[in-house]
Amino acid sequence: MSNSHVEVTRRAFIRTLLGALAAALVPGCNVGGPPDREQLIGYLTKVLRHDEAAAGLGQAYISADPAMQALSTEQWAMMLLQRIGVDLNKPPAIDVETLRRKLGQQVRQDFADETAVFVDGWLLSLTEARLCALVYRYRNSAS
Amino acid sequence: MFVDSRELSPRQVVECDLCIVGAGAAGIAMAREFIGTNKDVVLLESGGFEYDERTQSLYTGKNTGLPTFPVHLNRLRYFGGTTNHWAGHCRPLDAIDFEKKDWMPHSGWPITREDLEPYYPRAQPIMELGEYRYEDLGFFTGKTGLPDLPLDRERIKSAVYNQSPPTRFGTVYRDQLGRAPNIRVHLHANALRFNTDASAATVQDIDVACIDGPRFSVRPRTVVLAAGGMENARLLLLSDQVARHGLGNDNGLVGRYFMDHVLLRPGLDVSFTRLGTDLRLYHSVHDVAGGKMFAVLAATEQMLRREKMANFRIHLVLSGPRYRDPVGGIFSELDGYEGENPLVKGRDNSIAMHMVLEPFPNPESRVSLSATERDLFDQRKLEVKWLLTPAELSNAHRALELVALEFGRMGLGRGYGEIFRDDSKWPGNLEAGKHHCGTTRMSDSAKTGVVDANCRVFGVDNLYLAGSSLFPTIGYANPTPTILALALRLTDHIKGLS
Repeated sequence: MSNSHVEVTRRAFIRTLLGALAAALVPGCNVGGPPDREQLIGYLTKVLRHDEAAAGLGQAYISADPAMQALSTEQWAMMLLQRIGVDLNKPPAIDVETLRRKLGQQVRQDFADETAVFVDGWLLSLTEARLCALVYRYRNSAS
Repeated sequence: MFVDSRELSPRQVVECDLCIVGAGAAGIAMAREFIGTNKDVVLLESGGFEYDERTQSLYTGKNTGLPTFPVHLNRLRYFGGTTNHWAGHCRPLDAIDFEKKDWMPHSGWPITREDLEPYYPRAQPIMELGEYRYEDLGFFTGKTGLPDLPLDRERIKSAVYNQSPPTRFGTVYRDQLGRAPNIRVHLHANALRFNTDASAATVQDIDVACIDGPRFSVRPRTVVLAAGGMENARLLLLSDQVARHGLGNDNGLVGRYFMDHVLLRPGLDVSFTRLGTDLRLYHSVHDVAGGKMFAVLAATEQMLRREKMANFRIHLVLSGPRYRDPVGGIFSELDGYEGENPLVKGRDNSIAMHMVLEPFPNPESRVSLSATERDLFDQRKLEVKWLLTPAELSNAHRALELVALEFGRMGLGRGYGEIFRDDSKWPGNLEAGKHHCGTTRMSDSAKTGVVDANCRVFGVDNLYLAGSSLFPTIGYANPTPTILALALRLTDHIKGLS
C-alpha cells in the first residue's frame, strides 16, 4: 500500500469522524438515523466543494431555459436523487460521502451513456449540471 | 549528377527514358529507386538548393475560398520541395480510408490498404523512421513503460505515430543523387507544359524554362508529374494546346475535389479533475525501436461506421489553460480524487487537444487557372477555392464531443470547446493542415477520376502522376508516408513496363 493511499484513508476517516461530531452538535440532526428532507438537500449542496464556481456553472446551465429557471431547490434535489435511486420523501440513512460516491458513479455512467449537456462551452454530465443548478438555486434562495 | 539548367543552350533538347517533374518527397524517392539501373532519368527541379524569392513567387495565386488559406506559403519550391519545412509526423492511412463509404459521397480508392502494405515499410527508412509497428501500441507502451489511457475502444483509440527528424529530402539525398551517373537533376528548370501528339494520347516533350536562362525541352519516353497537390493540376490544365481543357481533363475533373485537413488548435481543452495523470505517451516524443514515436487519440473503425463519420485524430499538447475558469476542480471529488485540487494549480491543470479532421470530397472545392493573373513565365496563376461543408462542421463537433465524453467517463477531466458554445459556425481558430490533396484523384474510371490505379493519366499512355493530388480521400494521417508508398509502387510499375 502506498503512502498516498494511507494518507487518503486517514483523511477520509477524520472527515467522517468530524462529520459525525458535527451532526451530533447540530439541533434536529438524527445521529445514526436517516436525514430529513432539509438535511438531505443540505448534503446535496455540500457534494461539490467549490460552490461559488459550481453556482456559476449552474446559473449558466439554467439561463437559457425558463422552465429550469422556475425549478425550486427541492425540485432540483428530487430530480438528482431520483437519478441515484434515493427517494427524498423516504430518505435512507446516508451521508454526504455516500451521496458523493453514488453521484460520482452516476456522473461516469452519464458520460458513458452520453447523458450530457453543454454549459457555457463545457461538456458536463447531466447529473453534475443539475448539481450545479441546485447549488446556484440554493445559494440564490438563501441570500 | 546535378545540372544547372541556366547553362544549357536555348532550345536544347534533353532526351531521357524517364522524366520526373518535381524534386520533392515523391520525386526524390522515385529517382533514388532508379539509381544504378539502365534507365536514363531526368529529375526537373524548379529551384536550386536554397530558397529563392522569385522562384517561390511562381507559387503565388489567388484565394477565393475560406479566408484561412495562404496559397503560396505552405509549400516550398526548391530542391527537396515542401520536405524543407514539413513537421515529420508519420502514419499510414487506415484501411477504412480506402473504402467507398456510403456516408461519404465520392469516397473510395481503386486500391486498398493491402495494395500499399508492401510499400509503407519500404517508405519508413526513407523518412528516417524506426520499426514499422503502427498497429502495435502495446510494443510502445512496453518499451517506454508509459501507460496508455483506458479508453472505450468502441469510441476512441490510442494510435501510434512516428516522428521523422524530419527528413529534409533535399539535404539528406543530395549527395546520393549527385553521385548517380544515370540520374540528372536539372536545377532551376521550370516545367511549363506537356506537349502531346495530335490525339493527346502521348506526351512527346516538355517545355522547360529558367528564370535567368534559356528555354529548353525534355523529350522523355515516360513522364512522372510529381509537383505537389496544387501544381500537378495546374500543369495539366496549362497543357491545353491539343486537349483544349487541359491534359487528362476530358471530364472536367482536374483541379476539383481539392482537400486539406481541417485543423482546430485547440479544438478542445480538458480541465483536469485530478492531477498527476501520466499522459507522456501522448504529449512527448519517445525514442523506441530505432526511431521516435508518440501516440494520438483517434477514431475507432467501429465508431466511424456506427456514426458515419469522417476520420479524425487528436494531439495532446501541454499548453496551459486557455479558458477563464478551469472547472475540472469543481468535480474532483465526484471523480474520486482527493489530492491537491486542480483549481489551485496553474499550468498542470489542463491539456489542449488539437484536432485534425478528414474533409469530405467536394467537387466545388477546387484549384483552377486564373483568368487574369500571370507569373514570371506568362503562365496563368492558380486560383484556390478551399471549401468546407456543413458535414465537416458537424463531424468536428461530434468528434470533440466524443473525446470530451471519454475524459469524463474516465474520471480525468471535463472538456471545453469553442465549438460547443456555437455549433453553427467554425471557431475563429480554424486552419488548413497544409496538406494539398485530391486535385487529380485516382479512380477506376475516367468519369470519376484523373488517374487509374497505376497512377497513369486516363487517355495518356506515358504520363503518370505522383503525390497527394492522387488521394480520393485523405483520412486523418499526414500524407507523406502514403505519398512515398504510392511513389514506390509507381516505381515498381514503371520498372515492370520494360
